[in-house]
Amino acid sequence: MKKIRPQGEIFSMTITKERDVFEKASKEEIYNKLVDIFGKNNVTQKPVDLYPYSYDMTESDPHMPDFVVIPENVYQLVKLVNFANTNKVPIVPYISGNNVGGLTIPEYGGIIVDFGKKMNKILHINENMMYALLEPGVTFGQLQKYLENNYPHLRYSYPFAPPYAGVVGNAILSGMNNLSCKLGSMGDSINGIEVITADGEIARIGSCFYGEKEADLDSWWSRYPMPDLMGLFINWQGMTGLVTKCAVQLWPNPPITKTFLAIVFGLTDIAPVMREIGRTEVVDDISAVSIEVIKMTVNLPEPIKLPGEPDFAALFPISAKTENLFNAKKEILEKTIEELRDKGIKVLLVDVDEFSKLFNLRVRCYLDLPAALLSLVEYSGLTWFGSYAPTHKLEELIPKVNRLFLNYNVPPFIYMKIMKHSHYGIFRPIIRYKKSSEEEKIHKLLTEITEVCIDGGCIPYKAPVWMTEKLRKKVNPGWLNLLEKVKKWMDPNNIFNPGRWNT
Amino acid sequence: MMEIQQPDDLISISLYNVFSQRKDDRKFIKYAKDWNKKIVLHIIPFYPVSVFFEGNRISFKRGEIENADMKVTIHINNMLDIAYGRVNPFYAMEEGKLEIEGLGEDSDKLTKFYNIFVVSMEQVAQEPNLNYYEIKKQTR
Repeated sequence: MKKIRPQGEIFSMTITKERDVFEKASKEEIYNKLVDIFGKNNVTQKPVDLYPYSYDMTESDPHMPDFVVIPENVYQLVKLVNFANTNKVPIVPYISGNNVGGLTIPEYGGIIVDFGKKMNKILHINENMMYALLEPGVTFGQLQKYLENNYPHLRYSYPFAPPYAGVVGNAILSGMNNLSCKLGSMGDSINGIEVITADGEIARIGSCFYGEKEADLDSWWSRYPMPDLMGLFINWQGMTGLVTKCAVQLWPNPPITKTFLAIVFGLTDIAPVMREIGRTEVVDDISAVSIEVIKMTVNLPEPIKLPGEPDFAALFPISAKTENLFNAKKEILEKTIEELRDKGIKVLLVDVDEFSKLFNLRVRCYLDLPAALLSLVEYSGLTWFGSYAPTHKLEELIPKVNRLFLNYNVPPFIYMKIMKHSHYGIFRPIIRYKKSSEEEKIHKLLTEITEVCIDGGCIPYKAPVWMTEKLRKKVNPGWLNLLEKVKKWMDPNNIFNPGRWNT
Repeated sequence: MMEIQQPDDLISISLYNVFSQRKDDRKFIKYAKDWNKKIVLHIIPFYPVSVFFEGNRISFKRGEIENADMKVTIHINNMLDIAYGRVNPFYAMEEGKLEIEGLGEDSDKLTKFYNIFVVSMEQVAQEPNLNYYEIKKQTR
């Protein structure tokens, strides 16, 4: 079946991989049961409704779901999981559609659980112990606005993602935000979760584990010191259970914040700059992008780095409770830059507020997060090798990946971060492309980038299935067997997002 | 109205941004229109850019042309200091922080350079309406 997308691209209707979803119950029986659980207005099986759930921005193969349901509460979901487990029907969690890596594409069809429409409440803010208890559909924009209006002395951290991206999905998939130089992975900032396991049981993990009935709203304050069962769900891409609540840490919102911009000349010199600044423990975050990305932001969609231009730009936000503390942090930052210059690194440090007014205010999109970044959304396709990276390998990775971009005539777009004061890093080559005409070329480029990066020790997150297939050949067999055993034990009928990690 | 060429290098993009905000400004037009000069601006540690004023058109070329009418060299930090009013531009010239070659006896050159480049940067830098981010909480 051929259809025309609004922008005029021709594409095929997506096809679901072979799996008999209706082995134990007919499609009609499943539909009737879903209507019984969620109500007729919250269930659909119309192709026109299902289609948007069948693909994402990346090159991941599209697949159609059979149903989409919109839950309102956890009890409906317990009934759903019990039914799906009995009848071996896949369940795929979905929040806002801002996905990559095919994370919510239903590889084997089944039921999409769309949390974004109704299970999107901020259930509680504990000011004292600084956490927010959220339903899975809460978005970054929603949380930011809620905190600004009601708890301006508290802050959360925000990614290079649009305001409509989901907070819980970002946390349980180990996203990285604009406090990551201090905090590391957002997975580390989870205090507790509520999850429905394959047998329909509701489990509460973290300090909320006391009691038989609903947890006290003020009991979600810590993840430790009981055996840490959180690891059964974090980074599993929805393969082990259905997360229905999540408590994430908040932090004091200091009155003084200012961001500095480092402009670095020399392709690999950005690596020591990021590492050394990270180790100072004075910046909230470190995000660096290829200079081509700055040009993309000011409306040059296919930029070329010209001779004499710098290679990378990096942002260093600083926050402080007092002027004295701010000045002390600034002094440390400037001194470290000076030391790097003494070592021969050509790096310039400027106040980004000042610089952006004269250069182009559009670059502020990287500061005013969450934000829909022009450089990420101006084409119909977007994909990446997003990875956690050993920072000592950056000098090796950057030129290799830069060269690959240039070989394919694609503007280099390397995005990097330093996490937890330089304990580890993020290395993320990003590719924007025209889905209708460039997918094959881009997939080849991404495959080559993937191989270089995995060989360099990088570990992809939100990995698509073709990437996990490559990973499976590289990781140690003991780890892989344990992964399989845990998956089988947690989800014996393979109903939770089947196909992810090639399960 | 001045016509300004859209450039593709970082320094020219910045100049384009600054000039564009004054392209309909009568005072700016008075100085820039029909100036018919070629100015080399080298913002250190970046690269030189040649700026051409021809009729009502301003265009850019990366690199230093040989027959420029003026060459101006300044470090970016000094440029920001001048734009944000921390350093007086004439004091910066005296201190050697702002170097201008090719002034000769033509005092008009300096006046025009000052009004086209320096005043434009000061106006953009100190324009409070561009500080939308400082009031975002109230406006969103």
